[in-house]
Amino acid sequence: MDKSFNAFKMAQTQFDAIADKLNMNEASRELLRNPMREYHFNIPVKMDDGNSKVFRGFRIQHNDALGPCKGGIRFHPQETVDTVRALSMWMTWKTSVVDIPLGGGKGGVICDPHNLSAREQEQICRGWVRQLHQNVGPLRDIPAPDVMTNGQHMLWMLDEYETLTGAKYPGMITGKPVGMGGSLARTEATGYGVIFTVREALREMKINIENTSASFQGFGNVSQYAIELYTQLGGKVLCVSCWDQKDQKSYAFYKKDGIVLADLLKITDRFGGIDKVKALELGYEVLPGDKWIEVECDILVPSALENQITAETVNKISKKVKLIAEGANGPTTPEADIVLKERNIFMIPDFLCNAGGVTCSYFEQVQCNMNYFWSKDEVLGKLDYKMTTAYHKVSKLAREKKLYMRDAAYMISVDRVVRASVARGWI
Amino acid sequence: MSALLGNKGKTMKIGKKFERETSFFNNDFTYLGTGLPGGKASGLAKTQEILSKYFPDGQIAGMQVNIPHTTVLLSSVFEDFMKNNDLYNIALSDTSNEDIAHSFVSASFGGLYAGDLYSLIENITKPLAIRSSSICEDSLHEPFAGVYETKMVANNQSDRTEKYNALINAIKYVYASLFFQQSKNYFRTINRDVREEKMAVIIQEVVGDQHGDFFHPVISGVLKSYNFYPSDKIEPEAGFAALAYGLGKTIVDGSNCWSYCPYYPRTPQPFNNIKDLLNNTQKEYWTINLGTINHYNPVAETEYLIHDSIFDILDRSILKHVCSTYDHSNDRLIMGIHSGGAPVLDFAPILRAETLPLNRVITEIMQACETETNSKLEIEFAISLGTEKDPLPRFGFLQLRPINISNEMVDLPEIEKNSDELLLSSQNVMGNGICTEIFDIIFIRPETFDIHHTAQIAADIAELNEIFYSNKRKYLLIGFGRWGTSDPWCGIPVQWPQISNAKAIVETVLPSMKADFSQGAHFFHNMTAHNVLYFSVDDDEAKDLDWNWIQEQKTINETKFVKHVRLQGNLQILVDGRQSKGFIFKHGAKK
Repeated sequence: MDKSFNAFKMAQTQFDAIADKLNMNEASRELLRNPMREYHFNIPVKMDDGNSKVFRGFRIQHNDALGPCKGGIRFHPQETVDTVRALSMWMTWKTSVVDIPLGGGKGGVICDPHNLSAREQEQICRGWVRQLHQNVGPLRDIPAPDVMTNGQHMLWMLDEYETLTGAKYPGMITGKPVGMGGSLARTEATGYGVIFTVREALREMKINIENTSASFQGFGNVSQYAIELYTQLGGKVLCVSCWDQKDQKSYAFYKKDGIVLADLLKITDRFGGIDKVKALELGYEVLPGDKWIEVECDILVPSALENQITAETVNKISKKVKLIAEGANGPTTPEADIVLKERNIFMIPDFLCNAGGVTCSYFEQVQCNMNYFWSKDEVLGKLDYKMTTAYHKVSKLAREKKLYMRDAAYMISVDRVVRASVARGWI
Repeated sequence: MSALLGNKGKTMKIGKKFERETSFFNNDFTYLGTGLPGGKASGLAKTQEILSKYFPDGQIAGMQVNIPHTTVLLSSVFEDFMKNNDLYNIALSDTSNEDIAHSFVSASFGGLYAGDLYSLIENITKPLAIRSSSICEDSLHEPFAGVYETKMVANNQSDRTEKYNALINAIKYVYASLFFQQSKNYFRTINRDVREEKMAVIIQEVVGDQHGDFFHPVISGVLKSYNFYPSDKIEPEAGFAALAYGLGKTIVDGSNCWSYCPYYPRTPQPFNNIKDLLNNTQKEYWTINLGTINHYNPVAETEYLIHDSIFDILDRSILKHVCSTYDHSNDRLIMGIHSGGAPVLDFAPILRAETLPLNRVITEIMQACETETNSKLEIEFAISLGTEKDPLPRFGFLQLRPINISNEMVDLPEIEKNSDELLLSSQNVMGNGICTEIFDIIFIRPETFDIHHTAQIAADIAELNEIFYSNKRKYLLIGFGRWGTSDPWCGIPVQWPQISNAKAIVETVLPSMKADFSQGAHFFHNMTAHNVLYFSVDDDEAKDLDWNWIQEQKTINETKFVKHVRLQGNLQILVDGRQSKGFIFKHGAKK
């Protein structure tokens, strides 16, 4: 990752532009430019070797005018508080753009789970909750899995929360395993949501999805399910890139006739890393990780980390590309956005495109609060409906006001949050 | 079968791809997915072409004529559902129908279709019928009538999610019915592998009117352009219609309904007397329950249906087009609704007084469809009376399919009525041709026959049929009452695969069991499609049936109610379909 890149500055720049477009007053700008609350704390953990180690944790609550904060918890060695601040702001816009009654938050711990035992990870999870249990929960702030956290981490956190509060609150956290308060289809939700918006965009562009090809950055949960649905709809994926834990660098896996998801899944580790030797045996070209962006295809789906389509890399994008669907948070810098606008490449912005995850998390919370769980088709039916409705709302505004899609999405979501804040008498 | 409907093996040509923004009720005919539409949907697509060509203003004689709003889930939806949920293992296993259905209901449509189906249900509050549309019906030229299940859903819940769940569970149930035992048996009967089948599903608005908590058409009907049982003065080509009050399940299940020739609607049915008529007209009807559903059962075809008595209808004015009233004191029928007497569903107001132009409509439609397809046809339809907002009555076209007619010329010999060579004769025979391959008779034993045990009799026959199936032998089947009825009090409630190796069937009478065959029934359609020769033996003819000879033959198998005998020589069966007459000669006596 580019060390000079500051995600929070980028999020603020994007917000400022929208605030100008909305002619927002100063108080509103002040309220929304920065998080409402931040929690920074230490998590001391007794390691397996008997030594103690202190990990740094965060929880940022950007805005809760529309409802309790919602956002993931990331375990990442390069985590910075500014990244978490940016992501919490994007969560506010994300919950707002799909019109669910939640605010935006994000949390993280600076750590590398690859180098931690399960017991050590559990201690980090429990320590995180011990620091925050009075400030999170079903009525305040609902965490969820994010980068390198999963359902097991959520269950440890829930268990610690319920121990501390002395009651059962399955809606305290989402992303739990099915059968333990988790929702069916949560695993698929983000990836499917990405493709629901791609499907609608192509329909509007009058492009038959069966005649399209795509390149994906990342091969984690989002990409895997996005690729599944995209190929079910008839699209062809030419390239996926992923992080190789052993080599500490990324690779791109290319196949001219289209990748076979089932084959790749068989040679993929639990972090989404593809075995490059076996991939070569299966006939894949193994290329440097940043080559995914140069693939001659119709659709690019950056679904890994932020800051991937930059002023520098944007010029590597093939002339054939017509659509970018941001499966990851913040993969495109404002400078790159300018180039993409000029090139007339249709953009489905991150906080709309990947909102399937938070929408399903919201469904999970609703189910937990009712203690009544829905069928997979019920979840997927509602998810598709919600995502499609949100997409068309943004797309309609973009068409009517001749706006870039990201700007239209921001205008809708920021406007909703401002209205809620005004209604509450905050500004 | 639908080859002559012009859509064999092809994707949908008619209709538009389902778009969420235009919704179910803004287009008459839409489809979801890719692949094939199946026989039933192809028939409807063809029908829409015909209706647009012949009746462009959508009306005949002041009656709206159209296809109910329909969305077809093409075969790819089924294929994706089966593949993505890995259902073939349980589907092809020997587990019970219920277990298969539950497995299907628990499976998911996934990201491909769940959203479209959730959107489809938006803004629809009318009941829906979820019907199968078999791909094999197209490709194998087999009828598949009644092999798969149809499910009606009330679709009136205030919560959209409940409606959605009911809809998708119904679709999954219809998919599951492909792998029910009756279906597997059917495929075995036609020497095909059930895995060849891919099912499309039709989601269709139910044509009908609301009456309190009930919803049903005032008339359901089946119309055939060829009458397999023509009476003396009526040609087979004059056709045949069967009418029932309520949902068409009454007709296709083979229960009592009203049959007549569309060219002679005023001709009375051949009942001996009023009592006979009262006993053999429809008394119960099927309706969709719009009220509280007390028994959640997604794997039951009748989850949202009620089978009710016409005598329990409080507001009998809704029967004004379809019934007469029995005047007990004068032992006569008075057309229409009158106080003090029981309603009798003889459809006299429509057929005699033309309170609705039904007969004109079906005659014109049949002519148009025959001309366009150059084939004899069967049509299913439903009639609703309209509302204050939309007062025109409506003829809803539900299904169009061709029927098989054998053209073999058979000359019947002159024969003495009580000839020793004759096993039986009948003036009421369905089918056409000569059969000399039969050495076996399965018959219901007249000496032990008991109407209370017709279900057991059906089971006994099914077991014997299994043996014949394994040995690849055909047999003559003789029994009492209506074959293939779902009502065990009317006859023997066998399903088609349970008697699939019968080459010829005799329906004879006993004092305790007299019932006419229902030509609208699915069972009947399967028999005509498979060229089974069907002898209906009346009181007079029954006297000449040589039971003694049958009983003297060598017994191979017997139960309390059923016996299988093997003959020393082959039977010779002759049927002249043009005259609807036939003979069965004892072991090939007549050369």
